[in-house]
Amino acid sequence: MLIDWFTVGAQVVNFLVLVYLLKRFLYHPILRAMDRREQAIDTRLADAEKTRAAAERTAAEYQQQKRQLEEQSDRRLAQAEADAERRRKELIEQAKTEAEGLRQRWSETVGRERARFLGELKKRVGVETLRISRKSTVALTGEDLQPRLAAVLLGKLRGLAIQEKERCAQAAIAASPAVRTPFPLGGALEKEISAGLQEICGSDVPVAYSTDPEMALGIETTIGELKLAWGIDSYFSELEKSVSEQLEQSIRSSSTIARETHAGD
Amino acid sequence: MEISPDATIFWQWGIIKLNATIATSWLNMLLLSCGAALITARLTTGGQLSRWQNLLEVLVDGILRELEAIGLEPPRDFLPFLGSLFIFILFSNLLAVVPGYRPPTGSLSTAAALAGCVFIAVPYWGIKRQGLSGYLKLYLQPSVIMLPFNIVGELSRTLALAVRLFGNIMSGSMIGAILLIVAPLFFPVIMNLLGLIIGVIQAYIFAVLAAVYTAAAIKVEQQQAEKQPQKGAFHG
Repeated sequence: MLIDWFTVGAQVVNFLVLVYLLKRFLYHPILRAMDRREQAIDTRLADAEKTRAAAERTAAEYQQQKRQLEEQSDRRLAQAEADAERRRKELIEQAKTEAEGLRQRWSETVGRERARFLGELKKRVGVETLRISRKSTVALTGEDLQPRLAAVLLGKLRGLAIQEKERCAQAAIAASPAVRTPFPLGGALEKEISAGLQEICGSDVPVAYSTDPEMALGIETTIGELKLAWGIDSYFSELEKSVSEQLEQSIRSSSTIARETHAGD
Repeated sequence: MEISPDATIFWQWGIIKLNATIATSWLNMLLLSCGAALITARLTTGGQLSRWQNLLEVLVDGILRELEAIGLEPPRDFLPFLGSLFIFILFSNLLAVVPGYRPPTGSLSTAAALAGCVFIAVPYWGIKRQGLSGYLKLYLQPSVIMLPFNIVGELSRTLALAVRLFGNIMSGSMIGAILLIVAPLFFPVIMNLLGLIIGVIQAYIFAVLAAVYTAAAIKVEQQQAEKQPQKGAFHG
């Protein structure tokens, strides 16, 4: 007999006991451990999801901050560029003003130099002309220049109109006549000129003589506010006018070149 | 040489006896229980698993997945019974390679006991899930005429379970023993390897068939409940 019924019953009991034992020692602990692990994994996943969400939020915040910083940076850059442009214009304006001031000062300096130069020129030309005239007159005519000047003055005095002579007489009441020359006239010539003036202004009118080495060649007579002068001053004036024009033209051309050079920079 | 280990009796008192089948079953139970207790005493729930814990988790999880695939919901309700069937038969069959060990599954008594457990467990779950009348109606499907055939089918499949397991394992052991006499070199080793494969397959077949029977007992009513509204809708 292949089946032993006692063994069958015993094996049923054995199997049921085994089911209990395995349930107690195998399935329950293993399933519990798996459940806990799954729970832990779920928790970790949830944590990871939270962390990821937080990281995404942080990343979004960073992105926003970065955008804001970039916008701020752009604004500040634009502001800085505008400031720099304004500053550049101010500096250019300031430089222009300074250049204009320098140019003006330079012009003034040049003007002063020109005036000084012209004065010097006038004096030198006068002195030299006087010296040459004297020499040439003496050399060519054998006469001194002073008597000729005195003669010309006397001739002009005598040639005055009646009204002018009366005005001179009127003026001589308030102030006595004065004669100014670049060199001393000498006693004879002074007497001659005094006689000529006294003919017009009155015999008792004193005549004062003075010498001015700075004066150009000529002779000047003043009676109060009236003045009668003769000499080469008029020629000097024309010379001065001509030299001044030449200088002006030279300054203008220099100034134009300087302005063009500055504009080119 | 005895065909069944039942015949090897170590101790007897009246009808109570201790034969090789019972003894090896106890040995199996002892090894399985102690091994499980030892391994599960140091379970970890972290990421680092011990090798043995990993093995047991794979085993338990595999059984659960198989039960779920067969249609047993929730699979944890059926795990202790069906899982123990598989583990007990598998362990017995694998130990058959140990010289001198005679697997208890090679005994028709053991196979009959296990098949009898299935024979009782299937209606138990069927009645538990569908009620007594619901379960008994299964025998009248698809018509009343099929009642005797269903009853015979129930009995014959139980018998087939028992005889299939017994025949395969017993034959494996017998062939091994006979070959040991005829050709003591190489052939027994090959046959033992073949016996291992057969043992694993038989354990799987036994457990899966038990699961399928159980699933059939608890699912027919569900299928009928699903069909009922469709019929109503058709007639309406």
